Amino acid sequence: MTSPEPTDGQLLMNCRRGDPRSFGLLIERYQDRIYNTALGMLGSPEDAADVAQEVFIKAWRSLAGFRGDSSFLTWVTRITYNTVISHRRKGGIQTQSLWIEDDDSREEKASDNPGVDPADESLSREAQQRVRAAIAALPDDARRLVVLRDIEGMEYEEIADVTGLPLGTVKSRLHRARMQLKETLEPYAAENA
Amino acid sequence: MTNDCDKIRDSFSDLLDGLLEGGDRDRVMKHIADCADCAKEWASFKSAVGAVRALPKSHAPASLKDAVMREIVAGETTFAAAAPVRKRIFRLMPLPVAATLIVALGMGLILLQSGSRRDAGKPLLAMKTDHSSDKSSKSAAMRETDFAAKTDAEAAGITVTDSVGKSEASAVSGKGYMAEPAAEKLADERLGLKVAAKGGEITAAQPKLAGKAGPQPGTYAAKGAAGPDSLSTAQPPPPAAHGFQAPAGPPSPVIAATEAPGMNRPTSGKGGGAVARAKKAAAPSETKAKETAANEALTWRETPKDGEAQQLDQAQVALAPQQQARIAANIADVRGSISEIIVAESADPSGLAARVSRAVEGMGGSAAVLQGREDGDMRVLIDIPARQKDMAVLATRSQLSNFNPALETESKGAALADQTGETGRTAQTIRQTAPAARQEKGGSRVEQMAQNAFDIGEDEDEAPEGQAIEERAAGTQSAARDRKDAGAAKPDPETDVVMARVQRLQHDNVRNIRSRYLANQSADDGAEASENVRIVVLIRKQETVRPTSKADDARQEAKPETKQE
Repeated sequence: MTSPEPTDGQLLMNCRRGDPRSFGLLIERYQDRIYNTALGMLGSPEDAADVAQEVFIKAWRSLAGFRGDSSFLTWVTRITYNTVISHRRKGGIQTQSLWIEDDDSREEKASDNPGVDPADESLSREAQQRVRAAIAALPDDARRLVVLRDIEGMEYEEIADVTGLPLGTVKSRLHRARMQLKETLEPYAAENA
Repeated sequence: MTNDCDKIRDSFSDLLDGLLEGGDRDRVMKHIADCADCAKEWASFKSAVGAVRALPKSHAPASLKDAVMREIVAGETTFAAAAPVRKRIFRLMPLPVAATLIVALGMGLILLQSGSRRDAGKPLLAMKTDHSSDKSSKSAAMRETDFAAKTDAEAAGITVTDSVGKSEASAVSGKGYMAEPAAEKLADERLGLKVAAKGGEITAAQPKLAGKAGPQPGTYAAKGAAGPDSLSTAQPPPPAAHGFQAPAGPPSPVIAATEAPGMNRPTSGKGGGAVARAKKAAAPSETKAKETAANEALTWRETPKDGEAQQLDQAQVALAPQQQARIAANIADVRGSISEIIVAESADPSGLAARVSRAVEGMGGSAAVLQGREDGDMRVLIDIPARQKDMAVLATRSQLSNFNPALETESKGAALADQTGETGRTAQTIRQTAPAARQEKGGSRVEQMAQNAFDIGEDEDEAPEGQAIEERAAGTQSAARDRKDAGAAKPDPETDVVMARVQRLQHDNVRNIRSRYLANQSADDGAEASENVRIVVLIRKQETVRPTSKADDARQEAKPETKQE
């Protein structure tokens, strides 16, 4: 009989007692999410890895300041969002490369995306490249919203919490970003059709 | 495309995200079914978003967790509970107590920083005292507080205002009170920083540990002086065997104070500047070996070389209590009620201190003028009823902003000249009236006066006493001008006019303040005496005499190119 997985709350409590292993478990649990978020926002795997590392270190530093008003994931996503912005401001990230994973790949197929035709989930590498290029072409703030909503699947309220934007602003900006994506990807969609 | 189409397309995101319900959703779906353009748009929109959502997820690099854990375990990052400890403490405290502790911590940082630049334990020279043993503790705060603390004060979150004048002085204003018997006891036991009042003189005991093994306290003070970042991310002692040390519970304020600057913490990477400053500021210790050991201890290493470990441990053990005790002592020294700290610069700190002292004493307060730690620096401890505090501050700042040593000397000369001139005129008058009086027989008193007048100026060819005084006064004026010219790059006649005006305003200010004080005193007669507050005025010796700072400022403001838009 195996013991159930500790909840985030239990792990956080252990962290506050000075147990770094519990924080290690939290990292294991959320590192992919955070890395993906950073990757989507920055476009560079190297920068994304750096930011993800910085995010977890920041989280550890200010762990006891986490009041639990939101979930741990939302909290670290907020740290990620702010860290990405901070990196951009510092000019630490000059270019946006299109991230292409190796063949032995750290990728997995997306699934369980509501409102999306399952047939669309299987994208060729070329299609992935185009989609990522379209995302990279978005303005910074629009791209972050697309990443949070359509890549990470966060709810609008959570996005508002992470970004500090009003809910209505999140909705309107996200819609504009999606329309821009549609305009960018429309020719390719027509070709494929 | 109609207006309806626009509205429908605006709701694509809501439709896709399932945010449309009931009639709204039906209306949109019906429009899409009826409008080919919108149907095409909707398909394209859904496809684009679907493609984004269909992007494969990436896995974080396998090394990510290890890198983070290595970073954390290596002690390069702050223990998670450290910063919030401070928050918890303050959250549990009543606001005034929390504010007090914050200011006390800030003062501690300031005092520590000052200790790094000045010799520790230099005794104070008491010129005047306020005859209160309780007030003697304030002198310790004055002793330790430094002018260079302005930056540190800002870092510590204390408001820094330029209240005295752009070029003449700057002021550090802070409010805070700290009474911590435990800290005082600790200070007494560990450092001997207790300050005693004996026979009306303020004396400061030498630190008991001065000259003992390890560097001077200033060495650690510089390391302990940290910015708000460090405060908010207080660091624990180095973890034993690279493990984690969680505080057993919320530390006492004293412990929090000792932990907050992160002084027991090895600094590395981004924090290396503090160590460098600490090393730079380190006073000579008894032996080079000890100094080396102490410096090594400051830059604590994970893996000390063989043979050095014990030495480093000893140095650290020796340092930590000193550091802690020093902060504790500083907190203890600040106990009482420093209501305001004013920092100023002057070419003549003694003269300025004396004027400040006189102004305050004229308002019913007491002022202790103390020598600063640097040659020529002065400190004035003002003790005044709380109700007079604002006026005392006003009067003090008035003195600080208007005082000019060159003009002061010249003014004294002018006053002396006026006085002697008056004497001469009186003598002349008597001299003129004496002959007539002599003719009036029986006018013995007038005759005596006339005789006295003749005794003064019997021979007009010889310089009478009044004339001698006049000449001395003229000499004083000349010397004053020389002094002023020596300090000024270019003599400017406008300066005298401006400074004379400043001088008049200063006298007017003092007169007005005194009048208000007397009025208040009359009104308060019979009322219970209010609590006293303390104001500390720190006056640094100005390297270069700038006799025309006010005039410079006035001219500077008059220049169109320097006007602020």
